[in-house]
Amino acid sequence: MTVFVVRRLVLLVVSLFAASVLTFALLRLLPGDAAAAIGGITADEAQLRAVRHELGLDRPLVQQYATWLADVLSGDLGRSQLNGTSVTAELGEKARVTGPLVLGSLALALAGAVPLGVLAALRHRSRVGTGISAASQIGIALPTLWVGLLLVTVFAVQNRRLPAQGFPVEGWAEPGQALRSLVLPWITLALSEGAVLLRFVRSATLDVLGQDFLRTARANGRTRAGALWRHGLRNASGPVVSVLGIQVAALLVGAVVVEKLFALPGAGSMLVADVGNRDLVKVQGEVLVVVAIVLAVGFAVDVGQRLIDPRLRETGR
Amino acid sequence: MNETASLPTAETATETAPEPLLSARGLRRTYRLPRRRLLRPAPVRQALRGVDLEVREGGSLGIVGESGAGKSTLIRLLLGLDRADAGQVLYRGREVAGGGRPRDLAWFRREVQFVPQDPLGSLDPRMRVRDIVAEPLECLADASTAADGKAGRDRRIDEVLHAVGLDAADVRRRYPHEFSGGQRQRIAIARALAPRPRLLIADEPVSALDVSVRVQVLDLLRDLTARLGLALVLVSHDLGVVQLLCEEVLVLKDGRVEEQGPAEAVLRAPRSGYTRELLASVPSLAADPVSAPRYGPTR
Repeated sequence: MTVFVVRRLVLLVVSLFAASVLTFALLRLLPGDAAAAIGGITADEAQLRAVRHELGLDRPLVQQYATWLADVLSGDLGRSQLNGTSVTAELGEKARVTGPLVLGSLALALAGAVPLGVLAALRHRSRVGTGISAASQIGIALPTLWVGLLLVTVFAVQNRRLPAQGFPVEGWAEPGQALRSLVLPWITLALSEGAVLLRFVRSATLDVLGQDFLRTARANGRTRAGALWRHGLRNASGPVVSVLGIQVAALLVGAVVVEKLFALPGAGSMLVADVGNRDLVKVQGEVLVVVAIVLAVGFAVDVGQRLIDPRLRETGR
Repeated sequence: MNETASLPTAETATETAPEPLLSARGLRRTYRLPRRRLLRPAPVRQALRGVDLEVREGGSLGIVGESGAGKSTLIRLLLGLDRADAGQVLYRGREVAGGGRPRDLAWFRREVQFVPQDPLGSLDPRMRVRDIVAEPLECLADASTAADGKAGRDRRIDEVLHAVGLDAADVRRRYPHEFSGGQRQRIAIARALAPRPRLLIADEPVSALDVSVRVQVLDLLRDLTARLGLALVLVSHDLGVVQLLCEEVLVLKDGRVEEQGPAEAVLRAPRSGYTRELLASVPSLAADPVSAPRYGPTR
């Protein structure tokens, strides 16, 4: 187990390094010049050169990369090329919206998908099971954007129960307001994620239901529900946990759409704005953080799998 | 039932032996198959069409038949895992599962335990051997055993692991995937023995094992049933296995009892053509010193 964790950690570090190189290099390849953006259209060549020099853009790429990486490792993601604010500080600020948004909708998606998925598997031949399956298919097929608009129409426009968009200026200092403005975004994001999860929970449960050890457990005196609880869920959790790891990446992407839709001041809408502004330093900092989160979740999933499945535990790889 | 299937066993049993431990009367079970045509009703499959059987205390019954003959369905009904469409399963004269309350079968499961076909598939891969063997003890604890508590349970686990020839101290904390097929089947047998049953129902207990370990597991089963006075219902398509372990044989064909009687008689001089075919299709019995001589005169 220790060998595995160490190995997996090395892999994590290597992938993070590769990700940083890629992020850095790809953004240099993009057309567009930060100096031109800052200098404006009236700037002459000398002024542009001065700006480039100030930003360090005239140094060799490798050198630029090394400086950047050293800063990143010390927790400094650089400063915005547009207004000079600290990227780290701003990301930290935005994470206070995006973090609760993503984690909340993940929790919501799980809370719906696990019981419904198990039920759909148990009743897979009846109307209940077919109904749940069909509903989840629809949930997958519907675009997040459209679901969000629908929810806004029903709960914010017609009912006026919840805010249609925005987030309190005071942020979490106003917890009631903040929570209320997150309700619709949570549901929007959770519906599309939950629908995908549900299908995996269902198929994993169906798989386990066909296993001999469930029948045997019943012959040993467990009830149907008891056998499923004690043996089924643990064995079905493996594939579901794997998918959950992948879904976290999808959730981050979904957050971009949902934040835009509900005008939430989160990391997702910030990223979109920064790409539009060609604010390279900010974009590369943000992309790196997102990639790091996804890689870290992958690491946690792999280690978690070992912990719950003894068959994987002893083997080294 | 046709003439060839008439059973002398029922009468002789009442004379010589006590009341039957497990009996089944007129078991029928029909399954609905997936629809083939949209507008036609789903086809059905009659897995059992009226099966009677009886096992006496300490007795042993082998159920043989081809794939699809209804063996697995019969096992599920005998174990109270499924309900018959018609007919009854009785244990010590009391009905099993007929009422449709499978939860209330603890009294039955304490005395009737199951040895599955595929030992790996039937052992939860995420549980240690100790917990696997403890499961029936936990589920079936009654007033008398609950008093023993955890210590008593641990003692019982070691006892049954020892009884099946495993080193309890060594295997207790290990997982199923660390064992060989034969060892896994020993674990499954230990689990079945844990609640001190009076009857074991074994579904093809050695068909998933290497030929080399089959004999060991069969010997173990024979020794255990003899030593503990257990009754045995054994399902197999291997007549050699049945002959080794069972006094009585029931031949199942298309959900009906084709022939039934003492193993000796049925296997030496089968009355039904179907049984003769089954016997003839047993490959390389001559290589098996136990069963070879008896098969000679059947053709």
